[in-house]
Amino acid sequence: MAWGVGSILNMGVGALFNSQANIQTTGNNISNVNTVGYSRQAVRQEEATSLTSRAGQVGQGVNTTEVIRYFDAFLESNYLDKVGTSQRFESQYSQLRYVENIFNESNVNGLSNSLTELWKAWNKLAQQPDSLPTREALLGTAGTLASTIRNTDASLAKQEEQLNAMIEQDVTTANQLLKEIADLNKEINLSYQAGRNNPNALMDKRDQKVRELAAIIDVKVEDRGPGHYNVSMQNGYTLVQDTIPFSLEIRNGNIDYNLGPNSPFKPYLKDPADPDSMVHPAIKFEGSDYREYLVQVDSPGAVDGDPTATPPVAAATFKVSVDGGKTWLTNPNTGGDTWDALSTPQKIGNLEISFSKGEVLPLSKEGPGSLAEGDKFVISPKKDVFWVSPTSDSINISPQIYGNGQDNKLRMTGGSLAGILEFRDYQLGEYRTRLDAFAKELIWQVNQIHSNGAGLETLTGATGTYMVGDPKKALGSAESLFTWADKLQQGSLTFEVYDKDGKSVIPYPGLDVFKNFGKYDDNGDIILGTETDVFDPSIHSLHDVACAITESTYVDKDGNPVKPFAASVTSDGRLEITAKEGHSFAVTTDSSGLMAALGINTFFSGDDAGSMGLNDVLSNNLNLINAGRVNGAGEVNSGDNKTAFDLADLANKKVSIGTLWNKPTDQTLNDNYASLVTKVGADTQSVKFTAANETAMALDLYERSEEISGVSLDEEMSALIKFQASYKAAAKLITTADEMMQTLLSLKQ
Amino acid sequence: MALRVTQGMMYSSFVGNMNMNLSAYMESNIQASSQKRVNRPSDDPVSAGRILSTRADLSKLGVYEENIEQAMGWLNLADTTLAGTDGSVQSILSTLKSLAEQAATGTYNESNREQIGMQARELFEQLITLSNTRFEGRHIFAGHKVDGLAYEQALGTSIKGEVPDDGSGITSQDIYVDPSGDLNATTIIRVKGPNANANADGEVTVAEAEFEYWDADKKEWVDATKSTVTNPDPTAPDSILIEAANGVKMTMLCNEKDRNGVVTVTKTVNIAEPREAENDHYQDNGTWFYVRPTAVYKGDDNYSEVSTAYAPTPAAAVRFDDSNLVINGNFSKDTIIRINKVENGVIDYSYSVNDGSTWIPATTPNKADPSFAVPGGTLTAKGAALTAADANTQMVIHPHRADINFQISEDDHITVNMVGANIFGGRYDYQGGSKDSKGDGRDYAVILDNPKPDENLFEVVGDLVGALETNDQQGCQEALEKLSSVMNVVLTRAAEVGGRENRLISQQANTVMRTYAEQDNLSSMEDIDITELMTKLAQQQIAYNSVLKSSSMIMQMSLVNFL
Repeated sequence: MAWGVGSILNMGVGALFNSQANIQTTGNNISNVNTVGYSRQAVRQEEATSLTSRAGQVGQGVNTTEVIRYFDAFLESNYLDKVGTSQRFESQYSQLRYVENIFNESNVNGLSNSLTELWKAWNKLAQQPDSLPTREALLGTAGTLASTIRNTDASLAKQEEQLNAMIEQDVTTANQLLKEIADLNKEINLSYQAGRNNPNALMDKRDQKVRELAAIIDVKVEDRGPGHYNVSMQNGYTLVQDTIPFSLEIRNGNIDYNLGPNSPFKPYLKDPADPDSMVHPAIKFEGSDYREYLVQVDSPGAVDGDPTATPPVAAATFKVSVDGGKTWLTNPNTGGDTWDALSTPQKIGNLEISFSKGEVLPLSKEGPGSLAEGDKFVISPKKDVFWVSPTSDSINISPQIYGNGQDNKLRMTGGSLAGILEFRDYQLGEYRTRLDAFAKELIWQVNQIHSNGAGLETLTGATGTYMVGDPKKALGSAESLFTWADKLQQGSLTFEVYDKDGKSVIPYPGLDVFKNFGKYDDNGDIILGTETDVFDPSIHSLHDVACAITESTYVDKDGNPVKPFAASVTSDGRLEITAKEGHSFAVTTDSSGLMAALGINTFFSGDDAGSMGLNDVLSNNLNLINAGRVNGAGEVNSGDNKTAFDLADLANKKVSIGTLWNKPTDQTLNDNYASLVTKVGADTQSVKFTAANETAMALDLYERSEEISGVSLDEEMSALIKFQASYKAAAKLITTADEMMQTLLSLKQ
Repeated sequence: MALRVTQGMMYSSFVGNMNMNLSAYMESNIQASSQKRVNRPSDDPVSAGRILSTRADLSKLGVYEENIEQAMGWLNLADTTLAGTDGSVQSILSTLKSLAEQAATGTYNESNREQIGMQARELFEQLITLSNTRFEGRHIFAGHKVDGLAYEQALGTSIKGEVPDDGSGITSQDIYVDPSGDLNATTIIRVKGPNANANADGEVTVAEAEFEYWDADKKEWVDATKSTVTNPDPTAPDSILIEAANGVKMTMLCNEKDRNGVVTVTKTVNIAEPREAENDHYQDNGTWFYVRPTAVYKGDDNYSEVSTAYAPTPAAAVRFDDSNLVINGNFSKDTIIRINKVENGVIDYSYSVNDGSTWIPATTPNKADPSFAVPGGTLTAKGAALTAADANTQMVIHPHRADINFQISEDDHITVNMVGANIFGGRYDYQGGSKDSKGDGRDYAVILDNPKPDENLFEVVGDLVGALETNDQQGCQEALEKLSSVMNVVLTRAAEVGGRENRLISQQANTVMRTYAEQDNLSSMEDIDITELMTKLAQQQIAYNSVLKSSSMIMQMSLVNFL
């Protein structure tokens, strides 16, 4: 084919169109200079195929092929990675700044100061043990301390509540993003034609959504062209498989069953009492905590065993770990690290764990309710985020950090969701647990001393402030569900008993409660063969203690035996002691710790930061604040300051405070709290540093992607000038062709 | 170095730089306004914790300082009361001594002695007032019983004349006079003779004796009413009640009994031969009782300790019966001893002085009468060596306590009060009469063993008053020597108080010094160095200004400006 004016005209039109497309694209770039997620676009053009003519190959102009966007997938994947990490620490840092304020005592008086004030108030009472105004002031100071501790805990609890709401929000947002990404994939697949039709706007939008997702959870992207765009977590769990979105969910108090291949244990059993009932889980728990509890069967057997068989069959035993099996918790009752698998709840750590017997098949290891060695249960007593798997049960992806500070790589490792969960479980959770442990030890130390003391008045009766879950079980055992079970020890308890004139009725050492003590049956009769003079927390129950107090006898002046007390266990598991008409009493010596543990003759009530308060009876009667104690003559004298002195000296006592996952340390109470503040400060400082570091790196990557994808106005302006000129030239080409045409036509004249 | 620079990059970098500079600037501003280097824990986590601990330490030092001041108050008062220059116990005793010296001379007659007696009685009452000295409303010589009087005036008895010397003779300890009688006069009672039950030496049992008293107005001997006292407790000693002039009711023990109520000693007296109406020749014969003033200690003591055992098995309970436990030493705290293990001839035990809160391990050889050392002394379990089955037995030492202690440093305390009985003596109803601690059946105030009867201030002074009021020259003579011993006791106690005061003074200096050191330490941790901060602020200002300047310059540049 020959070439001619028509072909020049065509070429002009092509050039004109090309310039137009370029100007349009430049204009689009300029318009979107501030649009988040926009990638700079450019027109890809190529020289049109040349035609062979007599003059050889003659160019036919330009072909405008496609509009491309400047985008570096490698850089983007690095950026996504860093965004996740930086968001994890940024979200932690913003939370820590808030927590730090709660613990900040640099310029205001806080908890530490209140504690110091308490020691001062006890010292004042030691100076003036008989002064009522001093007692009133002490009560006020102690009340302030208790409310400061409660408020600190309440602020942290409030924050935890907000965190849980944020977690739900993040999960909802993430699920929404996953759907949107899948939807975008669908649209992109529809319009994408490689090399010809690029859905740049849709892809920008998708990349932006992925960035948003990466800020919430760690992601990695695999893009192998249309139809093969997958998003997954770093650990490989798929989040979007091209057009199919997966999802995350929140579960509260999940139990994972990890039974051995031959385990006879059935995760869910029918209730034998009600065969039509719904199935119920075979292992149950009550309570909540910040760590996962790994329950691992140590020796196989049936739940509860069979105590009636001859010889009795022992129950299966299990071990518990809160650090994923690295170390095992100690059973305070036995000193070992195993518990019997029982159908009654047992207090282990902060949980009450029980097994279900299901249908009872004694002696048989094959029946339901039997456990095999190595059977594992993971109890997650908190709100956790799970990855919903299409094929198996949901998988827990809440971050888990090992003792050495390493992340569990099978869990979430990035994004704000990981940051918030980590903050909740490993920082806030630790602070709350340590504050609880601090408050619990403070309460115990004060009560232990106070309960051995005596006030300006003797007691006519007392009701314990602490409840025992099962009054028939040994107080020191896990089954008693008793908050102070591990504080009790072998020992004795003596009361001094007074008549209505305040004269002691029994020669020293007073009424020995555990003289001729033992286990008592339901009628309150002692069981033969169990006699002893010493209380043993691994044997004796609250019921036994109540019976022993009721049965305590002294011989009066006329030689008649008198039982001065009526003691009982209230329906909610508290000990109630009433002195009979004409009697009153004071605690002489309690080496068993029972009085402090049951909350009789105590100063504080409550057993953690949130429940700490003053024993109600004190505010009604200041005389019951114990400044002195019963002396060797059986008297309580108003000038005796022994108990107040010892309580003031508690400021110097090194006490051992630990948590389930912190080794106990021996420090004074003030130092213990100070080290908690140091911990908060150090966490904040280190997270602040890491967050700044990671954010700087993320910013650097962002700038590098901006270098490629960002719009430079100067550049676009020069491009505009360039394309305007080329447009003019193309137009000129058409004019020229037109003129040529005119010239050609005019030849005929 | 960026290859392409976009407007977005420039903008975010400007904003970032400005924020960074401004926040550093603000940080310095906060430090300037609070004058503190650490304004939140993350500023310096280690210092933040140490600041709290140091503040707690400072508060503690403040408490010790306050305690030292308070203790000074108590001890200064005790010091001046006992050994001050004027009106102190010591100076009153000197006066009494010179009075006794005068009265002991033969040139003084009955009315002279009576006059001196009146003066001595005044001084006796002044001594009681001094023994009841109070600091901020609290009695300083009453042990823990700060709210009641340390001493109350009462009636005591001096025995003169003959008493059987075979150990059965009556002693002042066996006699109790009801303080409801006339406290302001001395009454003389004697054993009346003849008595059909008396033996050849004129000795007769208390139960069978008859008594008569001197009626000072009528100047004659009058028969006293005698009755038997009924006591429901068969193990308590028998006693009689003698009623005489001035409302004097005198209870006298007839015998001593063991735990089972079997009589071990029968108390005896000597009969006086009937003579003319005279009352000043008791030396002649018979047992004479002078009922004269004394004082009863109403505070409490820190003397005896009691121990008791709690055994895990009935067999151990027999082995560790309370009567087998003997304590030796001076204990200030309730102490629990727990036997952990008995093997290889060694007893493994722990003790606790805080009711079982913390235990300190120790060992002792396992032999007959094993002995356990604890702070303050030892406890011995009389009987055979222990067996493994005795493990888990607990023994408790439960001392009487009367000391009021104030803490004056982390591991030191000072006793601010005194047990009056140790200084002033008198009679003392052990354990407030609520119980019979001595186990001898006497449920009334008895003369203290310590200080010894001859050093017992109120008994000696009471004796002197009695002697003066009954014109007993020899009695005055005897009192002289005893008064010197009494003064020695008081001086010793005053020196003890002085020693405590000296300890306080040195501890005070120490506390003040430590306070300065801690304050210095606190300041170095939390206070800002102003010069340094101001320099920093100036630098930060320059930095911020230059960021603003350069940013505004660059931001104005655009190709558009040239088109």
